[in-house]
Amino acid sequence: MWRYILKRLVMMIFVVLGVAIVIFSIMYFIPGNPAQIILGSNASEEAVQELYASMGLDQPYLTQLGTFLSDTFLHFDLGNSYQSKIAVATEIAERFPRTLIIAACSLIVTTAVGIPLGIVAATHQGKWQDNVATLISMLGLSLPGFWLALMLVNWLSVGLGILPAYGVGTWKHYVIPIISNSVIGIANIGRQCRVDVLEVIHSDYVTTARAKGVSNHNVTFKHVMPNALIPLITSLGSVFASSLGGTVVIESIFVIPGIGLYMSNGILNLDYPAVRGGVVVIAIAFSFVMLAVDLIYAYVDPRIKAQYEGK
Amino acid sequence: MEHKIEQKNQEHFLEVKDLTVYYTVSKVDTKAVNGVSFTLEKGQTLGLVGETGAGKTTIAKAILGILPVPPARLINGSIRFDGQTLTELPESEMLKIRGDKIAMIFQDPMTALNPVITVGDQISEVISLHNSVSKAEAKKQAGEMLEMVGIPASRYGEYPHQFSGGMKQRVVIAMALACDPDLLLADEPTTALDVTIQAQVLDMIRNLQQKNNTSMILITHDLGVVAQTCDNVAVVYAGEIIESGTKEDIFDHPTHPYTVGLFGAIPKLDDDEEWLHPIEGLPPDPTQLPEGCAFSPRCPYAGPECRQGSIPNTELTPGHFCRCLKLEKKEEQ
Amino acid sequence: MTKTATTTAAAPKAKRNSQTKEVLKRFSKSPLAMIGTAIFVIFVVLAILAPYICKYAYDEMTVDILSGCSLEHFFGTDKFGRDLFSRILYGGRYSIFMGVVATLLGTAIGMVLGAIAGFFGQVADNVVMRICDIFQAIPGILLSMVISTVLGVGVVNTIIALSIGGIAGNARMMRSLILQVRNSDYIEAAGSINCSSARIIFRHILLNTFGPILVGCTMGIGGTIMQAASLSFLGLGIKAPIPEWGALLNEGKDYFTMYPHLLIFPGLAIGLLSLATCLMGDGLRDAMDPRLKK
Repeated sequence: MWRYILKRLVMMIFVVLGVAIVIFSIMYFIPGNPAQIILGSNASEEAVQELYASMGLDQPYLTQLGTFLSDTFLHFDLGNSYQSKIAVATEIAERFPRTLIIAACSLIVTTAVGIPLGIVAATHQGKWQDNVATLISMLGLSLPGFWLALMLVNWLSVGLGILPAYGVGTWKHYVIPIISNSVIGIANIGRQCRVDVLEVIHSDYVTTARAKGVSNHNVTFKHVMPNALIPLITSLGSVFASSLGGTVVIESIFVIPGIGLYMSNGILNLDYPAVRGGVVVIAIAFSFVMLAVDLIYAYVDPRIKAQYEGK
Repeated sequence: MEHKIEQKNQEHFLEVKDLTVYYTVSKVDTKAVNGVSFTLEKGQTLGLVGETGAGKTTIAKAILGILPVPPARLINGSIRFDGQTLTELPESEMLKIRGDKIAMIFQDPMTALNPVITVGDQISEVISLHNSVSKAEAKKQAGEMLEMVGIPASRYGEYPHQFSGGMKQRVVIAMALACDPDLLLADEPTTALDVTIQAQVLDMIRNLQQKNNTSMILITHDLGVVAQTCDNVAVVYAGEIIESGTKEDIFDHPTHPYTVGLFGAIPKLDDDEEWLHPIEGLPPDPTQLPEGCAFSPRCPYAGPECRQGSIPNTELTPGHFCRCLKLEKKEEQ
Repeated sequence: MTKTATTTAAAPKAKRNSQTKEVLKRFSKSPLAMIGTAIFVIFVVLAILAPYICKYAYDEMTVDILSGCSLEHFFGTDKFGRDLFSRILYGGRYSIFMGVVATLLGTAIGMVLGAIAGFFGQVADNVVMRICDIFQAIPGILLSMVISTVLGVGVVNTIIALSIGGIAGNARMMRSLILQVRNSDYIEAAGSINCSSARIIFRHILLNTFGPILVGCTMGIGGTIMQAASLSFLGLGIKAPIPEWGALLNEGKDYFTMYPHLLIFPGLAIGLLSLATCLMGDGLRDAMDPRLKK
């Protein structure tokens, strides 16, 4: 088991290194001039050139890449933001918790709503409950999250005035962002849960359990759910990852100063260090989530555990 | 003989009457069981013999009340067991009977065990459900059950994937016998096993059954297994019992053309024949059963009278029933 | 010898045709799938025939500024008095086209990469999968944002940016499908009756991966349209005055508290179209795998 974790951690380093190289390389080809943006359109040609050179942007591609990689991975220095001049690491450390709150709460809401939705649909297969659950999933899958966010703002903030429309401060500020960030996950998990539960319900060992005299309720929760949840763990991992990504749009709408907003502003302002730093941190978070998913998987499924231990 | 007459006055231990079960998918009825009736006495073994898809498993699931509803529908029939009418009992009462008084052994041991629960816990679950014992006691009893079927109790905490097919079937049997059931429904308990293991498992079931005087319904398509195990035999074809009687009746005097055909399809060691005699044709489509006798399309003796109305159940000798109109003609031949 | 060869070649073809027919028959019998198809077709037809249906051109300014729904302007007008109904119909041309093309492109490239990984295994598999790992560790919307900053705004550039986001997932899916089919008994059976490897690859393996890929592709269109809309909404991708649905939302977001129709209708257009592709994808999946039917 430990050898497996170690192996995964080593692989993770390569993935994050790869992410850093990819994001650096793509951004290298962005046609704009960050120096121009920093100094504004009125700055003289010479001043822009001078700043450009002092930022090291006139160096060849490989030199710049080498500097970036050694700074990031050897000195753990993500550089300073072009815009605010503050160290990217400091900014991210301050902003990341807000993003994490949104992503983690979205995951909780998704799990708490999506799984019961799927169970109800599967255990009432073909009845009205199934149809209602299917309809909800379909709607969740079809409506764009950011559009739903604006609709909710219009209804709950502008119309009823019970929730703030943007910004951070109290827990109330997070309600609409989390709901709108969860919708697509709820739909996906609900649909998948339904399929998984149906598959397990029709399996022989559930018939065995019923033949033993286990009540319907216990059949569902003791025999069906543990088996149906196993494939869902992977999906929940991807839900967490995609809601981490989803914060890019959600934070822009609600002006929540998390790393999603940090990165999208960074892209619009050609703030290379901010974007690179944000992407690397997200990639690390993503890799840890995926490792956690695999470990939970092994923990709940004795067959998988045996595989890892056998290696 | 006297013994038999005495029992007739009493109520039967298990009496299935006119059992009819359809599976309905997209408004199409699959007629799985069509008016099946039989009885079983305490300590006896009844063999339900027939081809795959003849409705044998559905009969067993109906007795246990675990038909998948929907798509299954109990159209008609009553099941009396030990003084109770199972078909009228509420679900809460049936829960007490399942696994305790009636238990079932399933066909495929590879899929019959929950992959994420240890085998020991799967056995102790049924023990705690039906006996008011502590968890530790249930565990101890489950360990004993494992030992009884020849698995060391030290393997209590292992998962099904760590067992071979034969071992898994032993676990399934241990689970079925854990509460000393009065009636055991064994659905092809040896079909999925290697031939060498088959004999072991069968021996074990028989020994345990004799020890506790358990009644058993053994579902199989293997006439060899029937010969070894059963007292009475019912031959099922297209959801109907077409011939029933004691083992001797069926083996020594098979009467229905289908039963005769079944025996003809078994290779005999002492015969010098080069060819087997399979029954011509295929079983009917259960969504479109033929009128009259379901076997008539394949029957060499069938006449027009076989293809209409219902075929009466004729008692040939006491206890030996056959559902065929051509009995006399065949005897003449 | 030649005779047997031709008969074996003809047999699976006939079977495949009947299989396709069977799938289409089941698909057409599912009411939800037909509703989805109908919505999709209506959207496409409306977008194509927009000039003949709309009273106004999408960029025609009228004196009715920010008016609500009326018989004159079904969905109201925007801040320049442009008819929202016309804008949505014309915008459908961009949204639907970009959604379909970007999904197809991402699927096609992903399929090729996944096939390479699945067939050649070893080094190729490792290289392709590690690249996928890297791309999947970057949030898709962020990747599309950065790429579209590099390429600039415009339909073609946005399509490229969107399709790159879909490659890794499709490659992974294709690879696992190929491995699954490759290890199945019927491939072994095909090998045992002396099928050539090329025949096994094309007739048996690729054909059997086609179904799930097609389903994924159909369902993906809605998601891609939403991604495109998010890009435009954030000010990348497609910019005004092109009435792409995300761009419409971007324009409307400043006025929506007073004039919610500016958001509601473009959003509903996206939602309805996504719903249509979901229903079609579901219907296709059920039609291809009758076991999953309710």
